[in-house]
Amino acid sequence: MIKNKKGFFMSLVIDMWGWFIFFLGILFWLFIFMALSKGITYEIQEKTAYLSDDSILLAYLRTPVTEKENIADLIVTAYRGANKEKLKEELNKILNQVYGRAKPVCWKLWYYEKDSKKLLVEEECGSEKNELFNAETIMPLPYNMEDKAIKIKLVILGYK
Amino acid sequence: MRLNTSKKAAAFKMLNYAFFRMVFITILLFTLYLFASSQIKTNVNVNGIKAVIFANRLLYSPNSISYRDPITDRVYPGVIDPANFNENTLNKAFNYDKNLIAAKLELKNFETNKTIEAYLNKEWYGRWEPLTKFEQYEKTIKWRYVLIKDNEKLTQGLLRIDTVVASD
Repeated sequence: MIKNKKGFFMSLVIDMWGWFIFFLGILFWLFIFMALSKGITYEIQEKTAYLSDDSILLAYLRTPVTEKENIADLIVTAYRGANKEKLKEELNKILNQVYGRAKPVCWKLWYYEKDSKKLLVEEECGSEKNELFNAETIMPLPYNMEDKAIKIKLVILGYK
Repeated sequence: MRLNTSKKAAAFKMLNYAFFRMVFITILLFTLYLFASSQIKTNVNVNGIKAVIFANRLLYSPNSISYRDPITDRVYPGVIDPANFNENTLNKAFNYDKNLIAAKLELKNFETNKTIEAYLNKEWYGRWEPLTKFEQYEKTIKWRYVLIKDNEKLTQGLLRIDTVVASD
């Protein structure tokens, strides 16, 4: 038999208050967490964009310039040290057709020599830089050249 | 014998009081669980990646729109065969029953300045595209420089890929 019924009920009420305060405490931290985590998102933001990968660089290299020549041939000629202006002119034509809707683009074309990057030809940039394209590939050279292949890198740095 | 009956009664009364506590604590813990679980997000939004994978498959797949050499069977990603640029080829190449995806492709020829269109899952593209303002439908637009193999001639072009992905 319970002798002290009043005491027993009081302990029940105190017990429940304890749990209730515990509940409020947890709830408080939940609200803090909700407030702090409000701005954190993991969505991929860029929904409208130019694709950029090495196979697009291959398409640039295959682009015909004349009936017998394409951009890759012009790169070989420029790598030999001749007619860099022609390569610059043709690359400008292609890249501006694709990217330069409002303004012409600026870009750099490098080749690698023993792991160091050397500039082959470029279209100089203004202050506005927002990289649109970055790709590299290895292209074969004609059989009569000392090197068998060169690694090249094309970066479209932004608009002029 | 009397002592035993009193003990039984005491135990019954204690259980009776403990019942209130148990109910109260259960309600509190359940409420906490509801609050906590409302903050845990188990779904990861991969619709953007789906659209990029679709664009890559579109160009690298041997049965899709890219030019395939009839002698060597080699596929040239980035060189488009206009003969394959149609709804029939696309619908055969992609299974959109499992992946809720629809797309509109626009191929602009820089030489002729003409644009041709092809659809994947055209019926549902028309239904989902106006709904992309809602969260369940996501539209992605990608551009890619391509070459167009018209007979034996290569011409320059721009491929625009509008993809609509519906959430499962």
